[in-house]
Amino acid sequence: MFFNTLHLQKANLPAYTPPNIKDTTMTHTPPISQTIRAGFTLVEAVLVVAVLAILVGMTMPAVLQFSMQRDDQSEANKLLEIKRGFQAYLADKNELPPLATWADALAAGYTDLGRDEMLNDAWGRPRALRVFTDTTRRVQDTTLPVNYVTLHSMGGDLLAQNGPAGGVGLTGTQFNTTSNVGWWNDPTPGTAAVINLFGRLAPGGDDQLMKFTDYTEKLGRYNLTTQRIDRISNALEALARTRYTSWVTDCAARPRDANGLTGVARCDNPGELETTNYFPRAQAIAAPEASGAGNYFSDSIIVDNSAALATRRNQMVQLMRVLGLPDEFCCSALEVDATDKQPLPFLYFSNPRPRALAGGCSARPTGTQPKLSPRIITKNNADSASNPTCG
Amino acid sequence: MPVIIFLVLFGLVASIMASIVIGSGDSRQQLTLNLTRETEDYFRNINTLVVQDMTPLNLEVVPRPVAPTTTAQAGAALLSSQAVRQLGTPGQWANPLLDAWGNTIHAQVVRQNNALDASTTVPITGIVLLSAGPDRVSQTTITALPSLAALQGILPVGDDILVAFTDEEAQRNNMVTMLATLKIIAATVKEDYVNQLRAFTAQIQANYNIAVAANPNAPAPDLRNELLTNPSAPRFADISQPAERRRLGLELDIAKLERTLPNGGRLQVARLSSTPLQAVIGLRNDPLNPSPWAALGPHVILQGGPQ
Repeated sequence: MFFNTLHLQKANLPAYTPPNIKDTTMTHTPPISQTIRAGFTLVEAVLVVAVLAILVGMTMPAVLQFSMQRDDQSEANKLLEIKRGFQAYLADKNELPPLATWADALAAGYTDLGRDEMLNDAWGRPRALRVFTDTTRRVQDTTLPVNYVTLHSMGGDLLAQNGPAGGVGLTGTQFNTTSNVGWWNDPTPGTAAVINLFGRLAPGGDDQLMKFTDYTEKLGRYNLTTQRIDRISNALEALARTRYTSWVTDCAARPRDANGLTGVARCDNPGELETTNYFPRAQAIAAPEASGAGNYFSDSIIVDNSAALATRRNQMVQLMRVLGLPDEFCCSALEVDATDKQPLPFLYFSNPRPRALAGGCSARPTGTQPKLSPRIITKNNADSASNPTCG
Repeated sequence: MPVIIFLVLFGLVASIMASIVIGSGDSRQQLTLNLTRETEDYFRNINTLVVQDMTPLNLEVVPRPVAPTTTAQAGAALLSSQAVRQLGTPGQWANPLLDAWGNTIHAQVVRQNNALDASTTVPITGIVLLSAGPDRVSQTTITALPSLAALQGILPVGDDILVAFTDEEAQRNNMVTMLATLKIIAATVKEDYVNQLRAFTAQIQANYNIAVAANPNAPAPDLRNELLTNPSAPRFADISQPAERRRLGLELDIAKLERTLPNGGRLQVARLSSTPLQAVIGLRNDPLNPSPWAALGPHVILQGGPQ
């Protein structure tokens, strides 16, 4: 059909006068321009356009579908890449990026996507970020804040369609906002409702949804923190025994002094060692004390729990060096300080209070009362009525 | 000329279509990679959850009572458990039983009691998670797992994604942790004993001095015999008594071991046996609400007598 069309005469060419066959001289030669057929006839043009239209018409649905599919896939890809960005940021900073500037924070090296690519979906419409923080989740034997994040795109139809989850209450006007309300129907923190709701969240219609929780990251950091505490406790116990042995030797070599020796080892009563707080628990029968609740100083390891955060962190680092442990063992792997973004140092109690039989904590041992082993606890493990750690 | 124009127009339309198709192909390939990673992450997170959370918390993976009759049912029960659901779901699906492409995950769980050492028998759980992968057709065949040993030979075929693991290492860690805590408890009991012994020896010595002063021919005391027969001789503290636990400052250490498990089971720290010269500090199951561990081996033997 195409080739037939091409062989049609052009209707708008100058009229061609055939040579008079009776003219035997044959002197008339038509101009060259008249021998070349240039331009389209109307029929040709219509046919070409018609053929192209048919072609485009036949392929357009498939092409459009491809195009929509490409947008859908692009959106799904970007949501997953943003999820990786959140995971990378969390692994590095030990907290989620600030809600108000999350895209800027992730764009600073945690994903290949640009800020606007994260804020807007594949159709150029803003996405909606929602974060729910469950502050009362129990992880093993402690309480940790666990974050649940969703990032919602309205999809190609540009309409927000709520998914099957009962907690979804997001409307189109709430897009381009970052908040911790709206997407979640206010589940009670610490309950199964949070987990159930998060598990049920799914996009409705052609909407797309990214879900992310930092639970396993928190779990890993929890285990890392408990390992640190165990290592510190063992090192303190070992140090206590070493010191006890050396002080016993030192004490035996000294003449008894009725006034006692000042400092770390006094042998003022025959058969009785007045020791520092680093002796094994049943043998730590006395210790020099410093004033102030929760503060307990020794001669070489001083950690003041009431000091400023930076000071306390530095003191804990010094303690780790005395114990022969890495500097990072000074601090919890779970949390960072809200202000300086550095890990929170452990709280150190060299003379902890015993737990009372009736609940709560007994008074801190003084004088010749038996002492407990030094105790390392985290911020999250601080005293509460139901869980007194008695630091 | 018309031919050229036509070809140009045709080429233009074709190239636009091709770019859309090719672009879509790139996007699809990227999505396949991302969804594969999403499914692998989901499986890896379940592995982490089982090893670092569920087994340490429950002393087994799935809290009892475990009713599923087949390993596949147990697998589905595991994926549907609240512990796994808190991880979220892969891709954009709201069903923990689906992979990132929306296909059902083939999960199997097998559990058997294994001996970790001569005196400790614990439930070990083996778990297989299988996704059909991007082509949505599973090429890997897994029949019902008869035993933990069957996990060894399972490998993914084609583009299938497969993760197989056991919680044996986690159970060993549980045992090590228990033993470490028991050692702290036992060391304290031992120190208390030594303190008593020191005071008792001094008392024996004082009594002997008095006896010698009264009768220079008084026989020297036999400390070992005194330890066995004298009611005032030192004894290893009975740490099942709350007052003794408090006196020794062991409440927190013991509470770690004696916590009530999610299934209601409970371990007890106890002085398993005691004579004036020896004691065994160890664990036992609460007779009314036993833990999932069939036999509890971690224990520490304390030797008394002159140190």
